[in-house]
Amino acid sequence: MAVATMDTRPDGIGPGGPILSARGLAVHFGVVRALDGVDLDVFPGEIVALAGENGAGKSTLVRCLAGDVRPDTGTVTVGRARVDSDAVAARRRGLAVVWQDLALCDNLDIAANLLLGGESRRSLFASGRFYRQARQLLEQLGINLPSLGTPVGHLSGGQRQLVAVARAMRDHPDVLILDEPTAALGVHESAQVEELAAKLPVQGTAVLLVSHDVEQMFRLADRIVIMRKGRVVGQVRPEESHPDEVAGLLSGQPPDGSARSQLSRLDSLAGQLASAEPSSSLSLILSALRAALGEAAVCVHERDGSVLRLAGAAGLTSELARAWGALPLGAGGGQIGRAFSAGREIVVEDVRAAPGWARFGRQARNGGVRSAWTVPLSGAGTAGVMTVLSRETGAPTRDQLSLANVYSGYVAGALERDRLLGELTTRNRVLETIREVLETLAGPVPIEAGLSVALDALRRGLNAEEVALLTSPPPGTGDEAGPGPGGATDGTPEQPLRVLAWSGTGFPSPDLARVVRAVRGAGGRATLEPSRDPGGSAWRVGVEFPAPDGPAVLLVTWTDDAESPSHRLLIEDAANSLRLALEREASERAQREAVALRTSQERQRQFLSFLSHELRTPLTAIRGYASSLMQPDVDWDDGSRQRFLSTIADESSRLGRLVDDLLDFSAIDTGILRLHPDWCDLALVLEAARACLPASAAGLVDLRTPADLPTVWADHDRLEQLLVNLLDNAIRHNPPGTTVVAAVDCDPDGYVRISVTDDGTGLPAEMIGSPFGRRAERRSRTGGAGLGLSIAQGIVSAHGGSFDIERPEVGTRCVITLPVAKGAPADG
Amino acid sequence: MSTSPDASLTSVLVVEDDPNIVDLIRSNLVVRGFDAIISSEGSRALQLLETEQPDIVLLDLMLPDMDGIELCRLIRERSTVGVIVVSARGGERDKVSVLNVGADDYMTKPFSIEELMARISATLRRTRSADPAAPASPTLRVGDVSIDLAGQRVTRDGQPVHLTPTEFALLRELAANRGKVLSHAHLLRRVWGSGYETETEYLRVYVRRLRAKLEKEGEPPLIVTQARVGYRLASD
Repeated sequence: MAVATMDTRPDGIGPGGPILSARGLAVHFGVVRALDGVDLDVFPGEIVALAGENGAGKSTLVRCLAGDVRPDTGTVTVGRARVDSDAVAARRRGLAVVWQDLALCDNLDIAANLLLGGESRRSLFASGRFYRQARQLLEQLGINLPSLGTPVGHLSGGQRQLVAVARAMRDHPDVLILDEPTAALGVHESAQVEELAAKLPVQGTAVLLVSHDVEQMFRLADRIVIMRKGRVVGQVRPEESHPDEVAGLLSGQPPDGSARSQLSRLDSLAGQLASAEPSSSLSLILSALRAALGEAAVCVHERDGSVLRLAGAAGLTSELARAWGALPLGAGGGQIGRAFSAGREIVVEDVRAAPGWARFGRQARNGGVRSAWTVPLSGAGTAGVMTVLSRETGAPTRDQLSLANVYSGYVAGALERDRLLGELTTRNRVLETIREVLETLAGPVPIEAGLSVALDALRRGLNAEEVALLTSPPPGTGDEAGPGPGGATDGTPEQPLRVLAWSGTGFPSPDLARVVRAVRGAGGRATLEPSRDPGGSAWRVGVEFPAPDGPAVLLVTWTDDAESPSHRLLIEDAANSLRLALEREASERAQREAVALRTSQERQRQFLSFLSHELRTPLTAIRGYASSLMQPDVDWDDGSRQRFLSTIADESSRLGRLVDDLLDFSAIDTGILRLHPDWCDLALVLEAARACLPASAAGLVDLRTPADLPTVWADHDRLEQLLVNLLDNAIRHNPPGTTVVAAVDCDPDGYVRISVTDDGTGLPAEMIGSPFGRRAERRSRTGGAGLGLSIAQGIVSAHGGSFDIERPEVGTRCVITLPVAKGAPADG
Repeated sequence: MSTSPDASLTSVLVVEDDPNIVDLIRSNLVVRGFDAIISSEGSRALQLLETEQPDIVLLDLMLPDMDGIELCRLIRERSTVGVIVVSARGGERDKVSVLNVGADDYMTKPFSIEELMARISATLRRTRSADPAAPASPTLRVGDVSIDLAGQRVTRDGQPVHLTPTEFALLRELAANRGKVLSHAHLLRRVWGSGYETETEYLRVYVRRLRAKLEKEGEPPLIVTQARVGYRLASD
C-alpha cells in the first residue's frame, strides 16, 4: 500500500520538527498488549486524525501522550522536550487535552469553567473583567454561546464540548488532543464542533483528533493514522484515499457475521468505559484553587477507616506530605483531625503560637508556613477536610473562605469520582482482558483454554479466591440427567452442571455442582445474591445465564467479605461476555459438524458408487457369459464355451474375494478386525498367496525370499489375503506382460519388509495416499485397488506395522513393514 | 432372440475397457453377424466414430481417459448415431445425465445378453429411417415448424433443425396422432420399444430436448403436457 510508506511530514510544513512526537511506545496491561511499538508525529499546523476500533489502543496512546499512562518503553516529546509520563511537563510544553468526559464543573457558569484555575485573586471578583476575558476567549475562537453566566450543566452536549475546547485553548497550546469530541453528539452539534476544530490550526494549534467517525476524519484531517491491535497499521491522506480503505485498515478484515458484530458491541462498551477515565482531576482542582488563592499549599484529607489519609495536595513539600500522609481523627490529628471531628472550619492564624503545631506541623513551620485553615469538605458520601497553608500570618479573608468552600464541593465530587473511576478502571481492565482473550478464541485456540485465561483475569480483577464457569453438558454426552422424579419445584428440572473452566488460587472447591445448588437457592436460579458456605468461611456469588446447551452459572468465591456491588456489575458484564463466547463457539461447532457431515456423506456416496462398480463388473461378466451360454439360438464353439466358463469361474472367485474384502473392510472400519497370530514363515505365506491367483497371473509373479528369514508373529491367513490383493492388483491393473516381484528382506531392528513391485503403468498418482479419492468418478485401470489398499492398510496396522506405496521410476511398489515379534509370547 | 435381421452389415462400436466384458459383447455380436469395433479409450472411440461410421455405439460410462458423460456429449456433437450407455453405477442421476447429453438408451451392469440385444435392436429400429413401407405422408405444419415425415426432415422458420433419430421418432409419433393425447406408456412403447413403458424419465428428457429445439419462447407450446397422462402435439 502506497500510503503505508508515506512521509509523515505534511506538505507545506517547514523544516521544524514535529510539535508532538512519540517513538516506540509500548504498554501492556496484563496479557493485553495495548500499545505495541507506536510511532506518531504531529507537525505544527496539522490536523491529524487517529482512527481505530475500540480496543485498538487509541485511548492508551492518548493517555501516554498526555503523560497519564507511563509506557513500558518508548518516548514522548512535546516541543523539543521529553515529557514521558509527566502530565504537568506535557502541559507546560504546550500540550492540551480535551477528554471525552470534558471535566467541566456543571454548577459553575461558562466563564468560571473557562477560567477555572486561571483566576487571580484580584480578578476573581472583579466580575466585569472576568467575563470580559471569557468573552474575548470565545470571540477569538468564533464560538457563539448563550450568556456567560449560564451554568454549564444547562448547556447542550455540543455547547459543553465547545466550552471544553475553549478552556483548553486558553493557554494557546501548540497541540491539542481532542478525544472523541463528537462521539456523544448529534449531527448539528457535531458540525459546530468540527467547525471549531478546523479553525484551531489557524490559531497556531495543531490538532490530534481521536475519532470513530471515518467520514469526519475525511472532512477534517490532513492525515489519518490508523491503529489496530496496538499498532499503527497505516497512514492515509484523505485526498488520496477513500473511507472504504480506512475502514478496511481499521478492521483488518472484512466483517464476518454476527459473532464479530456482537464482540464489536462489547468492544464499544469497553471503549466507552475506558475513555471515561479523565486526567487526574483532583490535582487539577487543587492546583487551580492554590493558584486562585495565591497561597503556599493546599491539601485534602479523606477519612479512611480510623485515619485521615492525604488524598491530594498542591504545593505540599514531600516531607510534609509524608508527615501528614495519615493523621488520627480528633485532637491527635492536630487542627486537621479536630476540624474533621468537629465538622467545622478551624483557623490557626499563627502556627508559631499554636500549642499543638510544634509537633503536628513542624515540617510546615520550618518550611515557612505561618498560618493555616482547615474546612470540612461539603459533599455527600465524602468525609474529609481541606487545608490551606499560607506564608503569611492572619485569618483568611471572607473571599478566600468562600472560594475554598466552593472548591471543597468540587474536591468532594472529584474524590467521589476518583473512587468510582478507580473501581471502573479495574473493571475496565478486567473486561478488556476478557474481551481480548475471547477475541483470540475466534482463532484455533480451544475455547476451554481461552476461557481459563479469561477467568484468571476476572478472578484477579475481583480479587477472588476462585472463579468457575459451569455449563450444562452438551446434548448427547450421556451425562445429562433426565428430568428426575420430583426434581423440579418450579417446573424446571434442575440439571447438573459440569465445570467448563476454572481459575483459582488453590484447588477447586469440592463438588461445585452442589455449591451451584446452594447459590441457586430456593428460586432455582443463581441471582447474584451472595451466600455463605454452610460451615465454611467462603462467600459465593453466582450469576446464571442462558448458554447454547442450557443454563450456565458463573460462580465466584471469596474467603473474606470482599464482595461489593461493583463486583456484581463486573460479574454480570463478564457473564455476558462469556455467554457471547459460548454462543459463538456453539455456532462454529455446529458449522464444523455440518461440514464434516457433508464431507462424510460425499465420501460415502463416492464409496458406494465405487463399490457398485466393483461388484457389478464381475457380475456382468458372470451373468453375461452365463446367459450367452444359455442362448437357444446360438451354437458356441468349444473354444468360446471353454473361455466363457473359465471366465465365469475366475470372476466368481474374484467376486467372492470382494465380498470377503467387504466384510473385512467393515470389520476394520468398525474396529472389530481380530487377528489370530502365530509364528509364520513368510516364504510360505508368499507362495500360498501366489497359488491363489489364476494360473496365467501366477506365472507373472517372481518371489524372492532369502533363506535366512526369521519367522514372524502374524496372522498367516490375513497376510496371505493381503498379498493376494496386492499381487492381483499389480497384475490386473497393468498392461499385459508386466512382471511383478514380491520380495522380503529383514532389517536388524526387528522388522521385516515385504515389497510387491511391478514395472507397469501402476497406480495413478492421485490414488496414492488417498485410496478412494476420485476413484469412483473416473475409472482407471486400477479398478478394485481402492478397497484392497484400504484392507491392506487395515491388516498391516492391526499387526503394528506400516503400509506405504512408493513410485519408483517405473511401476509401483507397495511396501509392508512388519515387526518380527510384536505381541509375541515372551519365550519368543 | 434369434439372429436379428438388423445385424446384416450393422457395425457396433463398443467402448469398454474391461477385457472380459469386451470379450462377452464381441462374442455375442459376432456370433449374430454384427461387425464389432472395439475401443478401450474415449479418444480412440471418437476417431473410430469418424473412420468406421458405426451404426450404433455401446458406451461404458467409466473409461480410463475420459468421463463417459462427456464422451457421450462429444459423440452427439458429431453424429446422430444411436448411443446406448452402459453403467456400473446404476444411479437415477446418471441416467438423467446421459439422456440429457443425448444418449438414446441407458443400461446398468450386470445385464443379460437378452437385454443387451433387445436394446441394440430397439435403438437400431428407431435410428434407421422410417418404415419404408409406410405410405408417403404429407408434410405437417405446426406454427413455424414443418415436419417432413417421410424425409425425416424438420424445419423451423424454413431453417433445418437437426434431430437425433430418437428425437425424430418421438416427434413423428406425436405428429402422426396430432391433437390426440398420447400416454407416457404408449409413447415409450412406440418410440423405445416394449419393456420401456415405465421409463418416464426417458420421455421427460426427450420432450424437453424437442421443445428446446423446436419451441420459441413466448409462443404457445408445440408439445402440450397433459399432467400425469401424457403429451400431445398442438393442433395448430
